[in-house]
Amino acid sequence: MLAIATALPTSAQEAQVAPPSSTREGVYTEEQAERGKEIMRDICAECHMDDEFMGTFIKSWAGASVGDLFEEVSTKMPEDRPGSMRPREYAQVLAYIFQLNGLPAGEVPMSSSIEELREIIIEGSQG
Amino acid sequence: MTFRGWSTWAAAALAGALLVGLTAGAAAGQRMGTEGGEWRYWGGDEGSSRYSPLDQIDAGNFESLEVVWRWKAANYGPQPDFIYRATPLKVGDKLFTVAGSRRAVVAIDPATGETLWMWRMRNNPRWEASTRQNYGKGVAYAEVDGRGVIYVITPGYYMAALDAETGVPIPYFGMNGIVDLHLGLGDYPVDADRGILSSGDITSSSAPIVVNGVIVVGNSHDRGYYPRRPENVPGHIRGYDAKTGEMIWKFNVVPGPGEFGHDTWEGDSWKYTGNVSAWAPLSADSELDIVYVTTDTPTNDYYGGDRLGGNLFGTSIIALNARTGERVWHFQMVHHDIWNYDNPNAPKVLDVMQDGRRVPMVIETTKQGWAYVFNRENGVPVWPIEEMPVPQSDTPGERTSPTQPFVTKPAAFELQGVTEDDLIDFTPELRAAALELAGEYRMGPRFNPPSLLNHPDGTKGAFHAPGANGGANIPGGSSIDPENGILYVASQRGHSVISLVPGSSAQPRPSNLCPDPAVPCASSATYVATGPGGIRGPQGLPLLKPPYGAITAIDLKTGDHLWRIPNGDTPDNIKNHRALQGLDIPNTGKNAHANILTTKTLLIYGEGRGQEPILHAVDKMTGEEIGRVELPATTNTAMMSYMHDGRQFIVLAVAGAGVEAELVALALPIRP
Repeated sequence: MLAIATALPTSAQEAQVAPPSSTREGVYTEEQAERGKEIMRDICAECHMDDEFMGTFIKSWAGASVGDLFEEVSTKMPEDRPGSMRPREYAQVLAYIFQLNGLPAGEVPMSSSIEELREIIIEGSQG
Repeated sequence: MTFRGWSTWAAAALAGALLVGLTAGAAAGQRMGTEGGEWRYWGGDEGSSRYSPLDQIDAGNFESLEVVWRWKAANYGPQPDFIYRATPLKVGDKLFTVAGSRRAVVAIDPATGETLWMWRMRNNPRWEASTRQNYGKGVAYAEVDGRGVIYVITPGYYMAALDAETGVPIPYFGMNGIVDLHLGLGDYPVDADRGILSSGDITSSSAPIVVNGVIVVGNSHDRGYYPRRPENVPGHIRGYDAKTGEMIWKFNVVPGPGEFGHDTWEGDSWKYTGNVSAWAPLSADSELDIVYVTTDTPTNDYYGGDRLGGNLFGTSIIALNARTGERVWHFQMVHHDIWNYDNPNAPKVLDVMQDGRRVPMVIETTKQGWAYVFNRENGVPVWPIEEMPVPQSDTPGERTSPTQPFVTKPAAFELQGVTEDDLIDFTPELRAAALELAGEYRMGPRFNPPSLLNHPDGTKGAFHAPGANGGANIPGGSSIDPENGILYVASQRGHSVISLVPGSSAQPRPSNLCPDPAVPCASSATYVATGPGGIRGPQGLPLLKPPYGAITAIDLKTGDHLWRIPNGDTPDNIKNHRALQGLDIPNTGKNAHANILTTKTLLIYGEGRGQEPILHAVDKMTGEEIGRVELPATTNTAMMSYMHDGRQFIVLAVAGAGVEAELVALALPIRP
């Protein structure tokens, strides 16, 4: 039983397109970014304007993985309630930050698993 | 839980009684930290030494420490607290502290962790509107007519007096045990519908302090990075009768006409500028009848064009007569502060022998990375503090102070300013990338002024270091060893990059901070910062060279540094970073404020917010690590120690992402 259960997803995955490995490949959905914008406005904007996350921010993180950034944000923010948001909400915030930086949206929602996100490398919209 | 046999129990109690007696004897006539195995103030004693002369836990047995009890704070409030900042008091047979965003006051059994009583203020709109529901640090204790009384300031800015035995409000204090701290603050408009101030906000996250029968009350405010307006309520300091709750005096931190310092506010700025809060806990010398108050930046942390002038008593230490509120002396650390250099720590009060002469000191450790050391009787710096020219702002409407006070000794304990030499150089590639990132901003020395996000010269803001999260701050703070005249200070290597934008184009703040939904909640301040943070280095690494967190020991007899150690070990995100594999990186320490405590024989520290759950013991004279024990979760704020029934305990608050707040008590096993 166990063998069948684990084998099925593997064969299903083989039929799919390989998951994205770069933030230039559409690693979030428009819906996630839209929700992320609301969270930024309702929670993050207590201390941060969007401008803080544009330009230099994405250049600094370029070369690190989305998982690294997810871990950083989800363990330290919000400052007075660290880790208090749901994992999917942290992913939505990252989606909005990527959108702010001109990175393309895609069809598949961004995961909120740090391990899966470690497979995606952060790159800015331009080389 | 260890089984405690009767005979062992009795023997331990006897040993403890002897030990307490000896400690009290040694303390006679001197300021020697906490006394009698208790911890009567947030900072241990009225001088906030964070020093316990207990020595049952020592270098030989430190690693035998075990968890005796855990007290869950998570259910005190509508949701769990993940940033617990409380340090309990120990008085007699009880611990007293606060928990959760309602700031419930609790009494706890020191031996078992059992909750003995709980009190909390009934909910009202003042709590809903409070900008500091979290961060409650604790309570104050005093004896009034022979009865122990616990004082707490609530998030809604009320003060309650509770019977220490029962937790019941004292009926003859204020109105049924409660004093409304909005009253007597000044003539500030009130939103009648909700009973909150409509001209700004004021609250408190710290305990008051009781000095010679007077409760001295500080305050705090919303964050000032990009306030909605240049107006706010000032954090005036008040004194109240500890028995009746009657307000006795008020000291205006923004002086009005005819008051000393009024001329440091140009135009009408004194009328509308607020903040200047004393959010850090207070300290006192009851023999001198002085309370030591430290203040933060006037409204708008990073732009002062709406409040030109030196802005007394912003970013100052003020010595006030506790009975009258009269100013004895003051010292302004930063003139016309536009760096958010709010004073973050309870001043340390101690006596140090220098060349055979007793020097009565008060010390403030700061975000600037300096320890300011004064003679606490008259405010004269113990070592020279010199006015030096500093860079000037080119932001429209801003006028920076031409000079700032520079501490000449002790040497700074954190990085001063940011130059190219301070950027990481683990590899040539990383250094080149760091230079490119930092090159978009204005690097510069200490007091480098904030600059525009869209400056015509192409820069996007200005560095200053230490920044908002650098230097010393409240979670780690500092601790002293009064017997040896040593100051220990925990610091973090944090810089800020401040980018200013016109207030009219500022992003709206969260709706709970903008009460009127019909009014766009941008800012009417001329300029505001986009945020307080710094920038990352390449690939998510830190931008600056290590150490990222440190503890520095400073000999107050000479002003010299004795030693400096990194906070814990290199963190995983650096150790395992793909760009650093195969390189020999020395211990960088953790990027957090270590939480420190000094005892008779040890310096003890936790690694602080978000770091490894380890408690370290260090040799006080050399900084050499003596031992470490694992904790159930990471420490989050300064800890305390006490003796109870012959057993020395260390109690610390833990919390963090995924870690609901609790108190953890450690002690040595009692073997049957």
